[in-house]
Parts: sequence; C-alpha cells; structure tokens
Amino acid sequence: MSNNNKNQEESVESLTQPEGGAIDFGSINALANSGWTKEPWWKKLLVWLAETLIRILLFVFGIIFDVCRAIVNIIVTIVHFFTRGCPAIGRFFRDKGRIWREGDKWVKLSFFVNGIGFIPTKQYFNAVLYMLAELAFIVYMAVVGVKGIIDFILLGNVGHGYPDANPQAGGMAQNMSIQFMIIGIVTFMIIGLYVFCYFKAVRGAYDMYLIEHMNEYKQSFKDAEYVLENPDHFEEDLSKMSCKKIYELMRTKYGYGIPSARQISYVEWKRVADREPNGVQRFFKGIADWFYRGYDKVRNGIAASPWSTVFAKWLFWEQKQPEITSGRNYVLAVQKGKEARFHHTYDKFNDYLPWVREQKVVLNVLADPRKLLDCAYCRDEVSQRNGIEALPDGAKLKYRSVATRVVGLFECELHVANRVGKWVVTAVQNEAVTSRKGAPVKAEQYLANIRDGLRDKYNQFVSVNHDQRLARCEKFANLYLEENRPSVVDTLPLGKKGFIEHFMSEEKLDESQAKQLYEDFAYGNTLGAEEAEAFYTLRNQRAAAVLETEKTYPLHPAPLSAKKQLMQFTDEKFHITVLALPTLGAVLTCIIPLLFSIFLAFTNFDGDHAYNNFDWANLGFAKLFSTGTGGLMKSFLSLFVWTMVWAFFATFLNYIFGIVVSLLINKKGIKFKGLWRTMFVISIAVPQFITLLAMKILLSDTGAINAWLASGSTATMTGTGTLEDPYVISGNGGFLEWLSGWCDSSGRSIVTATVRALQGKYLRTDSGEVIQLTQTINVYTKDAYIGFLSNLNTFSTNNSTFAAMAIIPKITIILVNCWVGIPYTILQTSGILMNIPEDLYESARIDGANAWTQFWKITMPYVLFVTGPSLLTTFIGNINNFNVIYFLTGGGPTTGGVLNSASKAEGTDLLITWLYKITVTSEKHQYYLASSIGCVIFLVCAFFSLIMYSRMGSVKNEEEFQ
Amino acid sequence: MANIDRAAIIAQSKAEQQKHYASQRTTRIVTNVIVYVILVIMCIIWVAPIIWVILQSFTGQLGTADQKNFVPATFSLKNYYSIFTNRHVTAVEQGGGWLSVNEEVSAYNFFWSTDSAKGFVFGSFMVTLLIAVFTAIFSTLFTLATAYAFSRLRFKARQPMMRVILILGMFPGFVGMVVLYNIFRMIGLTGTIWSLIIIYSGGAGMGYYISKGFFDTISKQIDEAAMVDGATRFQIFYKITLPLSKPIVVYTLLTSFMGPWAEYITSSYILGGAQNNKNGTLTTVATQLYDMINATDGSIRGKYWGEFCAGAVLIGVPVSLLFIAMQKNYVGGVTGGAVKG
Repeated sequence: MSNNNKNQEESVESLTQPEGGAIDFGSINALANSGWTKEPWWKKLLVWLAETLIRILLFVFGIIFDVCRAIVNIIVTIVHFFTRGCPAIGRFFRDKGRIWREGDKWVKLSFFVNGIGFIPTKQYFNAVLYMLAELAFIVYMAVVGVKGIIDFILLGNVGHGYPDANPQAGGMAQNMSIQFMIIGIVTFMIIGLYVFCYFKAVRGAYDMYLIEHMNEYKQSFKDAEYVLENPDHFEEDLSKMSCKKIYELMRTKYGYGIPSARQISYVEWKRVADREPNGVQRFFKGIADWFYRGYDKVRNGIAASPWSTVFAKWLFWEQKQPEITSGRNYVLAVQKGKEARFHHTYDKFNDYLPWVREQKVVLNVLADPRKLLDCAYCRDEVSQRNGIEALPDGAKLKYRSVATRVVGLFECELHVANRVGKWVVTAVQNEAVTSRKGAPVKAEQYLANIRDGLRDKYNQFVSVNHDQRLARCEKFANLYLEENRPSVVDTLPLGKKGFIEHFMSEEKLDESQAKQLYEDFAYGNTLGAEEAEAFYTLRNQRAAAVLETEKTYPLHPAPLSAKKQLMQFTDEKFHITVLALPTLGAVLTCIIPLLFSIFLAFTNFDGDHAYNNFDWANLGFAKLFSTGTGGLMKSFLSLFVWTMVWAFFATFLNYIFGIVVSLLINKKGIKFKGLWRTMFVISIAVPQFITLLAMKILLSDTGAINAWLASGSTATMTGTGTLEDPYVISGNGGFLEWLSGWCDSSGRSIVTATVRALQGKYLRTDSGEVIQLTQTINVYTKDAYIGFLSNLNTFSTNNSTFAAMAIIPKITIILVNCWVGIPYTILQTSGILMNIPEDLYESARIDGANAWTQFWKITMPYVLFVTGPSLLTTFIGNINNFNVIYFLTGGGPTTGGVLNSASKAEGTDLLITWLYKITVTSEKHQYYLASSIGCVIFLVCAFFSLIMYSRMGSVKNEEEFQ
Repeated sequence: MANIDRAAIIAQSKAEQQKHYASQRTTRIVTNVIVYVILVIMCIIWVAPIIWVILQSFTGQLGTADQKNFVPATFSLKNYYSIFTNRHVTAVEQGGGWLSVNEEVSAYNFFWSTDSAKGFVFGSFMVTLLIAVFTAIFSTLFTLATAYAFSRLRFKARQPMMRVILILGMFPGFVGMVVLYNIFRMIGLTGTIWSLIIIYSGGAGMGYYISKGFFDTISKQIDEAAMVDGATRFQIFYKITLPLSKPIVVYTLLTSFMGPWAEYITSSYILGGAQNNKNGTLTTVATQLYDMINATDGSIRGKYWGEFCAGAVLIGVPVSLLFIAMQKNYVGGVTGGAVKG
C-alpha cells in the first residue's frame, strides 16, 4: 500500500513542472477518479462515434472532393458554351472546360488528383508531390489532427481521450491541456497551410496549362504573320484545300476553340467559298469582326490577345486592300520596319540564347525580355537623346547603367531589338500618356507619325520642293487634327482651283500634272491621316496586348523541368530558400507561443489548474478590466501610465543625449575621438546584467554611493540629558545633508555620533519631542540615506505622495537607463554624423544659419532618417524592457495603494515585470492573467508603432532611399 | 594721399581680421576646453562602476563587507581562486593576504568541476560559451538571410511579412515561454543547451532591421551589373553582397554571440536551477551570477559578492575587449555601405 502511494507520488512529481506547477495531489486524485471510466456509456459512445465518423470522412475526403470537382468540371464544360456572353465568368468556365476537353488521359486523370486539375507535360513529378502532400495531410488529420481539434475544443473536459491513461500506471495524465492546446494550434496551422497550398496548386496548374499552350499560340501567331506578308500565296494554298482541311487548318494552326469557326457548318463554309472567290477572306473578316468588336472584352483574356491582334490586323489589311495601292506599301513598310522586326527579335531570342550562354553574358536580361527591351530602349536613349524627358529620372539612370553594358555586348545583333524596344516602350508610354493627359499628346503623336511615316510617301508623290510640301502637309495634318475630320481635302486653304493654279505658277507644271499632283496630294493626305489613325490605334492595342501578355507570362514560357524548377530556388525563388529556415524558427519560437498566449488569455490556466486540466474560461480580461473586488483596473492603469512615461524618457533621453554627446566627440578640434568613444563603449561592452547588478549594489541604501555621500559627516552631542536640558544630537552630514536639506526641510543625513547617551536620560528628537531613553546608546545613528532604489527615507518621510509614487526609484531607473543606453546611441549616430556631407553645413553657414538651426535642420533630419526605424523599435523595446527594472529594483519598492499585495504589483513595476511576477513569483501563477496583460501590451505597442511607422520617412521612401 | 589712405585701410582691415581670427580662436579654445571637461566628467561617470567592479573582484574582505568602499580595504586573489577551483574561501590572512586560509566547497560551479560522484561537470561558463557559439552561428545565418531577402529580393509576401514581423516583435514573449518549455519537454530537449540555442536563434530572423539597413546602402547597380553578367541571385548574395558586408556579418556575429552572456530571464526559466555543481543541472552565467547576489537560499546569500565580481570580470573583460576591437565594424555595420546611396 505504501509502495503504491510512493509510486503515485513519483508519477505526480514527474507530471508537475519545476516552476509553478503547483498541483496538489488531491486534485490529481480527483481527476483520476472523475476520469474516463466514470463517464456514462452513452457519452463514451458518442465521442467514439463522432471520432470514427470524422476519421472515415477524412479518409474519403480527398476522393469525394475530387470526384465532385470532376463532375463540376464536366458540367462546366457543357455550361461554358452558354456563358460566353458573360466574359468574366465565362472565361473561367471556358478555360476549365477547355482543359478537360483538350487534355489527354493524363489531364483527365489529373482532375481526380486533389488540387491539380491539370498535369502539364514533364510535370508529373509535381503531381506526385501534390498527391504525396495530400496523402500526408489526410493521414495526419486522421491520426492526430481530428483528435487534436476535438481535444482543443473540449480542452478541460476530463476524460474525452486516452482512456487508458492512468497516472498510477505511470502513463500520461488524463488531460494534458497544454499539450492539447499545442497540438490544436499546430493542427490549425497545418490546415491553413494546406488550404493555402491547395489553392496555389490549382492556380499554378492552370497557369502551367496556359503557359504550355502559349507556345502554340505563338506558332499560330507566326503563321498569321506569314499570311499577312504573303497573302497571295496563302490564298492559293487555301483554294487547293478541301473545306475539311481548311477547318482542320483553322483548328490546328490557328488554335482551338474558335467558337465562330465551329459554328459555321462545313456546308455553309463551302457554299460561301464556292460562290465568291473572296469567300475565304470574308470568312476571316467575319471572325475578325467578331474579335475586333469584342476586343476590349476579350483583351484581358490572355489567350485571346494575340488572336484579336492578328485578326484586327487582318481586318485592317482587308478593308484597306482594294483602295491601298502605294499606301499599302507604306503600311507594310512600316510594319516590316517595326513590327516585323519586333517579331523577328521576338522569335530570335532562342537563337541568340546559346551564343549568349557561350559568351557567359546577359542571361538574366534575356530571361526577362522586358528588361532587354528596356535596355535596348535605353541604348537608343543614350545615343540619340530622343524623348528622354519622358522617363522618370530614376529609371533613366537605371536603364542607362544596364544599357551601357548591353550595348557593348550586342553591338552586331541588337540593333533590331533596339528599335523594337524603343517602339514598344514608346507605344506603351504613349498609351499611358494619352490615357492620362488626353488630346494634346495624342495629337503630337499623330504629327510624329505623319512626319516619320509619310515622308517617303510624299517623296514619291512630290518630287520637287520637298521640304515646303512636307511643311504644308504637316500643316494639313494640324488642320485635320484641329477639325478632326476624316478628310482634309475640303479644308485646303487654296481650294482645288487655287492649289492647281498655285502649282502651275510656282512650280511651272502643266495643268494635268498639277491636277494629278492635287489628286495625289489630297488622296495621300486623307489616306495618311486615316492610316496614321488606324495604325496608331492598332499599335496601341497591340502594345497593350503585348504588355499584358508579358506581365502575366514571360515571352518564352515553357513548362520547366524538375531540374530547372529546382534551380529556380537559387534565382527567381531565392527568397524561399533564404527565408525557409528563419520562418520555421520564427513559427516555432514566436508564432506558436504567441497564438498560445492569446488562447491562454481565455482559459483558467493558473496554479490550481496547471498544465493538466485548465479549461476555457473568460477570467483574464474580466479580472483585468474590472474595478470591483479583485479587479485590477486601477493597478493596471497606474502601471500603464508609468510604463508609458518610462518608455518615453528611456527612449528619447537616450536618443537626444546620445546625439549630443556624439556631437561633442565629433566636434572639430577635439582630439582622441577614438578614446572617448571607447570609454563610453566599455559600459555597453560589459554584459548588461553585470553592470545593472553592480549598479544595484552601488545604489543600494548601504551602498558605496550613499556611503560616499555621507563621508566626512560628523556629529556632536550637547546637553546634560536631564528633562530640562535633554541631549541634542546635531551633526554635519556633509554632502548628503546638504542634498537632504535642499530637498527636505528636516535636514536628515547619515550622521554617526560617537557619543554616549545613557539610559534614563532624555533626548530631543528631530521633531522636537523629548523622549526618555530606554537603553544606553553608544553610537547614535541618524538613519538617513537616499533611497535611490528603495524609496525609503530622505525624500519620502515628509511627503507621502512622493513615496507612494516611488518617484526617486523611478528617476534613478531612468538615469541608470541613460547610463546604459547613451553609448548605444553614440555608437549608432557617430558614424552617421561623420557621413553628413560637410558642404551641407557650409552652405547653411553661408545662408546665415547658426549652430542651433544647423542641428535641427540638418543634423537631426539626417540622423532621424537613418535611425528612425530603430527609434521605433527602441520605444517598443522599452515598453517591454524587463532587464533594467528587474535587475535594479525587481519592481520594488512596495508602495501600497493600488499597487498592493493583491495586485502583486509594486512601485516601479512595468507591465512586463508585473506579468513576470504574476506568472513566476506569485504563488498562484495566474498565466491567464499574464496572457491578457500580454495582449493589452501588444495592442498598445501595435497602436504606437502603426502611427509611427506610417509617418516614418525612411519607411515610406524605402525604394527611393535605396 | 589716396594711396596712404588705402594702405591705412588695408592695415586696419588686416588688424581687424587678425583680431577677428584671434577672438574666434579664443572662442574655439574655450569651447573645446568646456567640451573636454564635460567629456572627462562623463567618462568618469561611465567607467567608474566598471572599475569599481574590477577593484571589488580583488577584495580581501569576506562577504559584502567591502561593498561600500570604492577601493577595497584589503586586496587578495581569493575570489579568482574561488572561481577557478570551486573552493569558497571562508577566511583570509589577517591584514589582507593574497590567498586563503580556510575554505569550503563552493555552491557554484563556474568553469567545470571534477566531482568525485558526478565526474566531470561543465560549469555555467562553459555551458554559456557553447550556447553562445552555436547561437552566434545560427542567428547570424538567419538574420543575414532574412535581411537580404527583405532588402534585395522582391516577392509578393515581402511587405506582409515585414509587417507581420513588426507586429510579432511587439508581443511580450514571456508568456510564450511556458509553451516553449512544454514543447521542449514533449520532444525531450528540456535541460539541454539545445533548447536555449533554438530559442535564441529561432526568432533571430526577426531582428533583421540593422542588417537590412546595411544591405540597403549597398548600391543596387552592383547587383544589376552582376545580373547582366549572368549571375543568379544566389551567386550575387554569395559572391558580391556577402564580401561587401563583412562589417555587418561581424556585427551580427558579435551581437548574437554576446546575447546569451547577458540573457537572464529565458535561461533561468528554461534551464531552471542556478546552483550548478551538486545536482549537475545546466545553468548559464547570467543565472548563476544573478543567484550569487540574489540567492533565495539564505545560507549563501551575501557570501559570494567577491565571486560575483570575479566572475563578472572574467566574462566582461573578454567580451568587452572583443566588442571594443570590433567597434569600427559596429559603426560600419549600422551605417556604412559600399556605395553611398
């Protein structure tokens, strides 16, 4: 029996914590008795049923979910035909459906794998990873997770798990609340992570699908270009083909899922093709119309953008085709010169790559074509200084630095990219500008177009007097712009007749020539304006589409192999590599404990319900914010005010004095700068707890400082000791007396009078009262010292509010903190101060600024800018400054009032040391209360830092500063 | 006539100028003297407590007898003898001899002890040294990695993460210690130095601010140039940024190495007991030295003041020397940069 008891005791000991785990054996036994075995059978059954149900559900969870989604996807495939009119929703469904419809068996299979929906080629390893992750998740949930969540929710309800747990058998306790809580939190985090990954996987898979098909789009895009440049050849090809073949061509070469193409039946198609020789073109025109009209709606869809452009172009070409003679050459020339070159480079990227790799250069530029274009653009900028004003300053510099390198490397090949880059960027910029500033810029652009593009044309039309006519042409263009009419012929200032006459007289042309010239001129003018407009529109749309494409996907997207994806972790995804371990560490040591603390505020976790069996309860906040019996509102407010005062002084005194001292050290003409700095640095080089403990001893009531202050004090005794002539002890307390007299009218000091005052004699005390001595005193000590940390005596005796607020210890603490903190500021700022450019001060001096103004207008802003964020963290750190208070006073002295023994708080306690006392030193170990205090501290800190953070210049302008 | 006037005027103005210079010089000298006086006074205030501790470590008095003197009444080496041999001196030669007369087994194990029952046991100093070395390595890695990511790499979660870290830093971590203790108990790490190493270096990444400030000052053009030359971001970090960041690496190493020496609250909570030779539990220097002054055990309270000072000197001197030697790097670490931004 006794042996049994012993075992039980041992096991209980092993359960309790070294600190604070104050569990009495009675409560453990009570727990054991009220345990699982005592629960009614139906409750056990219910819990068992619930658990089993959830486990089973979880096992089939993934499968059910996947099947459901697959069904949804199939339905969606049907439905998407009807939802095309509603682009935003329709596009989603259409794409989903398209994936299913177009996909091979792997794709279809992948719909059944959780979170994929699509496995791209060469990406099967990803699918395996996803599946493993899913499996791991399900297994985790079934084995630990469900149980963990149930435990977490029930928390304190004894006996819902571990039916075999028996402390007497040395097993776990029935109800390890703290473990339940930890496991619950971890489970919630894992679920969150899983859901996040799930959605990311779906999204990623869809992206992969699109990326994979982008290459096909690109191919078709190229084909379209070919068609555009060789229309006759293409038509020949078409006429030789059967309708079905044409349809196949449409489908394979020009991408799938063109609804219009599919809706036109073969018969209809053939009929149209037979009846009219231009049928094919009309067919294209129909499609193009559809796309062109729907352009704005569709252009956001990444799949649609190249297509709409192609067909828009086709439309453009076809509409103009009958009329354009020489104009068409112009258009093509422009297109060849600009767009074709663009596509040339666009397509040549891959050809360049090996060469570039060989040269070990510019890989990253090529990996990011936008950058290449930018570089090219910059190069142009550098060489031509053309339109450079349009770029913001920072961009100019940045681009130039890259561009200068590129120029050297790509001299031979990059002239193409160069032009292209310029073109794309200007187009994009123009769009941005016009959308913002509107007409003026747009008009300028028209002019520029006409000037650039139509010069050759006018050269053709008008062989003489080129400049004059060009100028006139520009004038017409201006007129056109002002009037905004489709034709400027009517607005020719001379009129037709005047024009012809003018040319006949001025240029010595005959009438027919002049007439022809007029016709040409008028025609060319109209055409030029229209073309310019059309071209401009197209170009902008095209640029927008390209931009959009590039923004979403790289220009040469391809599903990456496993190795490449792995290699991404050293480059594009380097942040993941770098941040993985720190994040894990932070989650383990900060986030989980943090969540735990927050949850803890809503439990009754204290000495009576320690570790094993605390339960949900709203005690902490209720107690903290109540002013009634047992409420701690007043103590809290008192400590809160002191904490704020402390943090303010501790931060800003250190900061300002630190800057002042480092200014002194850095002053011109002061020698041994290193020595001075080292002197200060010594005090922070020594570990803080040593200096603080030394300070505590130094400043204690009997410490060296008090002894030194009282040194040299003397005392004499006068009087004979009778009632009429009592002893009077007077003394000269040295500095301490002077100090005391200054602060306290009673003039107390440490005075040791080596006098013999006999028993039975009378002594006049300080208050003037005459007392009879009950015993002989040999050494009379007038007990006085400055209670630097203890708050006793000198200042306090005659001033109770002074004592109740523990003013002296508070001042001492702040001063000691200055002692600790100023060297840090010196270290931080002296470098910054040296870095301030001297010419700033010189110019200020020339402007007549005195030292004070210089300090506030130059030094402080500069220092603040650099150290601002650290000031913020210092402030927060001071709110949570445990060390200084704990080592110096331990929170003391006890002052009474609201800071009484019930609240566990003392005079100099900060909220954080109060929290420590409640948790560790007090007998009750009220963790829940400490947690609620922690939450409040957190809110306060968050409030301050959000205000300061939002106003901090160096935070706002982070990128600029870099 | 005019020439004479002019010469006179010139002479006058020269004299005035010289006078002006002279007065300026006087002002400067006076100001400098004042500044020197201020600096000397301040240095005395700042250094005196430390010198006091060093002097106290040589005290020949027992217990706290010498606490109220700036210079000890008698000198001896008994405190160092005590610290190195784990023998607490209970009596010294009359008149301040250099060594002990009588001694007993010390309550504290500072370096190591070779107890007959326990065998070789690491004292608090060695334990802290181990912890400090590991912590320095891990937390430097974490801090630099985080700082580099936030300073140089641009990714979607960057701003949110920075904000979350800012907010996390505001939560008083002490309550979380309870759960950390339990987590370590669950995985059996309590009572080992690894629990402390994990705690010290786990959250180190969140103190990335100073390092980030440093990385920010390194010109981005260097990175871009490297990218043009085909370097990956890893290569940029490893071959360009790190070599340029030696000051901040040293600074981070130094601060994280010094952390465990000065850290009291976590180590006392996680590792528990402060006296460390009888029961063989681990303890850190801070906990032990704190206990020497504020011992809860009445029988040893006040007895170990001299040992405290000696221990403080033994820790403080190397750490301070290290710190002072690296002072330049510290300054550079906070403010410097390869290319001025």
